[in-house]
Amino acid sequence: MLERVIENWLDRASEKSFQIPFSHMLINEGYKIIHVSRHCGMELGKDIIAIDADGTPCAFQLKGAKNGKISLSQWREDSISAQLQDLVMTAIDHPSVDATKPHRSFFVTNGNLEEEVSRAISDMNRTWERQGQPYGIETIVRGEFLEMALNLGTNLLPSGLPDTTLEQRFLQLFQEMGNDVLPKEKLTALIESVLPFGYVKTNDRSRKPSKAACSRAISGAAVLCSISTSSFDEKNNHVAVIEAWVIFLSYTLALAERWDLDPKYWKNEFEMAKQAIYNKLEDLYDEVKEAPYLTEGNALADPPFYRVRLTWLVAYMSILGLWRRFENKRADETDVFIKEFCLENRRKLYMWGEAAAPQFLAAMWYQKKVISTPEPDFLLKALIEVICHVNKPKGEELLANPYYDANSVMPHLLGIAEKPLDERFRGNSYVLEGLVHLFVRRNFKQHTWPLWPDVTRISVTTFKPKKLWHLYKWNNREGVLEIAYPKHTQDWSELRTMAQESGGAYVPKLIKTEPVLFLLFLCVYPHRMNASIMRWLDSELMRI
Amino acid sequence: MLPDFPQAKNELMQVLTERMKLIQSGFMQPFGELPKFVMHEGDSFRIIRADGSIDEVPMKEAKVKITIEHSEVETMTPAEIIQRVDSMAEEMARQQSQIFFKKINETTAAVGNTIDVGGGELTVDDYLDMLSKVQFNFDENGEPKLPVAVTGEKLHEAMVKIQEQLRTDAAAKARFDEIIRQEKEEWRVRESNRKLVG
Repeated sequence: MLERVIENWLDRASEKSFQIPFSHMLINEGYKIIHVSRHCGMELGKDIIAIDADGTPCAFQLKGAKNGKISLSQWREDSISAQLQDLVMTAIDHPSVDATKPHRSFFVTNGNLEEEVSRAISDMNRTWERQGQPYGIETIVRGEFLEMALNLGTNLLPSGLPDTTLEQRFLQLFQEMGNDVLPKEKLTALIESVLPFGYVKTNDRSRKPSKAACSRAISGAAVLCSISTSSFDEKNNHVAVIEAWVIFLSYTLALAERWDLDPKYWKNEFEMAKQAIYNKLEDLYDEVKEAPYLTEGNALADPPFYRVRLTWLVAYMSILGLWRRFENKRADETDVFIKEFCLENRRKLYMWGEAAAPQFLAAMWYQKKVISTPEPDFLLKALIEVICHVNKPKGEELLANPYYDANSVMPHLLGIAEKPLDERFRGNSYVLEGLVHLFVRRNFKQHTWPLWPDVTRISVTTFKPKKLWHLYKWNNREGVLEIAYPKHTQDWSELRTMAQESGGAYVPKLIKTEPVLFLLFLCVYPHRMNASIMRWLDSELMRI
Repeated sequence: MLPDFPQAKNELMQVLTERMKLIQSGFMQPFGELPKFVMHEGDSFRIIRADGSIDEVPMKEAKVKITIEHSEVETMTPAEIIQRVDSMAEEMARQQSQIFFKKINETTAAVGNTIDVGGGELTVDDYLDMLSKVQFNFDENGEPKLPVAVTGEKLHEAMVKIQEQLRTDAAAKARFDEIIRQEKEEWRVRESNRKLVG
């Protein structure tokens, strides 16, 4: 079944949609990925640049086959011959590759080659050989492509999970329409089931899974993640695809920390997925920039959801802006647009539930970089006031905790839900303590004083996982749920001391080098927010 | 496999589950009215109070087993299904209430907040002693939110008498009013203590 689904996916994939999974397959075959072009637009003259196991630079050009084959007419219409000429004859222009070293060139397609096309490539290779060119064109066609995918597929059941369960989870995702928000629970269950988090039992003995097995499982999970969410990619549902890769990254780090894996077993996949996320953020930027309106789908039903979407977009554009600063990218028109977009919409954000809190924080931290007034700080105050008002002990309004996403909360906010939620949110918050600490850090003492009586009426809930690496998992059976009530009478200097702490005790070690990615992680996993994490992130992002 | 109807059966299960929750809540009074807090993750629970005291709350299991013989399936009527669900709900409510009462007993005993009348009849003085040990709040009109009394049948009769005494016995009423006055003052202090200092 799994094989047939992969085959089905391969047959309908475009070069854009098979670029990332193919890159992960290359990693599994021992390649180190150097660059993946964003649009398959041959940015550096090549779709994928990699180094093979022998250290030889490799350039790949991908081409989606029309009707299952690269025909002579497609060969001519798409000017493939000229592209291959460039692929072979133009040196790889990338700082990580020695341009003087000869490189191998690959033409990759998910279809077969028509006989005439095969002959044309052979002719080109003979010509290059006569000219003394060390490498000609090597081809990877449907059969080889499928074999690479299936090689990974056979490695996907390390945890003893029944094939049927894995296939069901995989199929459920694969069959999604792709135009809704990502079903994160389904994807996390799928990825968690293929990664070896437990001990392996052999002959009545338990042992750790081998590092090589962990590495293969990570590659397999990447391919499964990509294929299972391909419908979202095909619909250009960029946010859903970003979320999918964040989930994959999160589980990769979880496995790396679980078994204390050396970076050589996971870093390549990590960087590849990180690149995919960045590329998708830029795709989202393009769409936001080009879109005349930010409406989507059925316009009649869109008004209540518009600001939910806008808040999300402002957050992701803010994260892109912070990412570019973090990586010291040269400022250009992208940064100009991001600034304009985020500032223009900064007063239209909607706090529909605590799951939106990380989105507000992303907006706030970005605004801190681009405007010099204290306005972003007062976004914190506004959030504190909203939570204290809506979730006051006898309040009648609804501000759901971060375990509830917009899809599950909005029907209740609109009063159209079939049945009420079992849970009540009055008198409690998961994010209030962190928001108060961030506001106190800004030292607005006079503004904090009137907030405090209401703050003391709200208990603060924090989930503390048993192991730090559990934080990367979507859901944990082990751990303590802690409910704390603030002190009624609170000394300001003591509160300031608490607010200044930023050791990041609840931040797992591997993500600590990636504060912007961690902010994105919180937007995808809003239930992982707590005061300690927010304080650490505040300190880190202020340093950018 | 034999033909099955999971979709329709899931719908039926949803209806039965809703009914079970409703019945359970009814049997659990006054606890059925308490706000529900869903524990989405973890296997233990901790409360840190405003005074800094910490209470570790171990998880308690309440469970009911239902057995349906294959031979019953053919003849079971909808009314009988509902009856089974209702009895399950009642048993769940009983177990959960026991857990609540046990916790309340442990907590009150730990801080010496119990009154033992030694098997005798509960008097108005006992009641007022109890009331003076309980902290309660006041609404926006300054009216006390008096605690709910959970009693058995015999104690209920005593409570009715006590309520009557509080209306007719001037000394009892004066003591009751004094307790309310003190509680209100303590509440006012508590509320005015919600502040930042320094």
